[in-house]
Amino acid sequence: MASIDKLREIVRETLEREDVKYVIGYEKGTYGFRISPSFASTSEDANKFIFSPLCVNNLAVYLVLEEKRPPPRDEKEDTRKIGVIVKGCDSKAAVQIMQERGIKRDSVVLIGVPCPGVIDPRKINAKFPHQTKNVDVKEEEEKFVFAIDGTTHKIPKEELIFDKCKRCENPTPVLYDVLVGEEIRSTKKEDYERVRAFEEKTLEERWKYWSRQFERCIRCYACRNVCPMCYCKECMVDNLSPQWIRRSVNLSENTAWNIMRAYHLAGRCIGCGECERACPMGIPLMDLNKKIERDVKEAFNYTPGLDYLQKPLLAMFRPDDPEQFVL
Amino acid sequence: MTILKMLLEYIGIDSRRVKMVWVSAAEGMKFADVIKTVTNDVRKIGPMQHFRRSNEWRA
Repeated sequence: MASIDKLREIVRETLEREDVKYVIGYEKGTYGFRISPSFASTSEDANKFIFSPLCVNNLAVYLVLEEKRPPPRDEKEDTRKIGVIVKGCDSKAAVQIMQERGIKRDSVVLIGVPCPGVIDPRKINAKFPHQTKNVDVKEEEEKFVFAIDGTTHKIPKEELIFDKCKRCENPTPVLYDVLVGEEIRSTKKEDYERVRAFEEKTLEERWKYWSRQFERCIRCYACRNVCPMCYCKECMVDNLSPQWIRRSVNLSENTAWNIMRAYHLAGRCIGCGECERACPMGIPLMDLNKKIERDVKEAFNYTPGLDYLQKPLLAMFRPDDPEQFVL
Repeated sequence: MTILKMLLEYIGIDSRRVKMVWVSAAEGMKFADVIKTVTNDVRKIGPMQHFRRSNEWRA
């Protein structure tokens, strides 16, 4: 991974540009293995930035969460750019939002950081629960090294990184204005193993599995809030006329919510896995999203998040698109 | 629609229950035929057991 000093230097340089409002990055978290997002407007703030294997958050979500208040009467709107630190998967989110014209390419400064994989908080908290002091994790070849209460632990990466990182095809950001560190080439391939294994089950078994999962959903909408692609001004669940999904928390409405969210992400989800990480009930949302990702790739030969000049999937039509569903 | 059908199968809901047809109510005969076909097809699959509203009062 790139050196933290180089990262901070690049962030300070970006802040010195006249056309940059602030830069979003990571800083030390509140406790244990946590990392907080950080917003730097001055060089002092930039010196808090870090980058470690614990930096799991997808910061591209802040690009669409920016609150645009109407400016006071004699002031003009501040249209300066926003800088953001992006890993491989985060950059795909930014690219996909640009593809849909959610943000403009020239309103963002992407500071790309090639990422060899980040640690799954669930896995590391299962191994070392209840850490109150901040733990600093460093990379050492194929192991993660960190010290807790004086003991140094060296754990092989395979045991701690996200499953999505084990299949990452884009460790280097696909789009960036400046790159911190060396490009990383990936030899891994997404083979949709879990999707195919699940499709071996019968219809009844599948429903049994999913109904058990959807029963646990508490409709906190953490998945929606953390997703960079969920930026509708008015979400379909908040719509009351017509009310597509009732607000009651029961199996029927939860199924509707999860299916509809997955469906709205069809051809748009870039597989950053933040929804699954944010879910307080541990529902395997990536299974649904990966299934659609694979179907979209096979049926329409389209991969989201790679080229911001391409047209979005559901905005284009080819005469040879599959059509067997029409009676 | 292609995506929706695949997604429903993945969840465990028979995607033959969802059909898409282009027909106007002005095309009387075709409209009636379509409705008969769809109703019969779905009847063959049987009632959906997936969500049943239980008439329980929780304490």
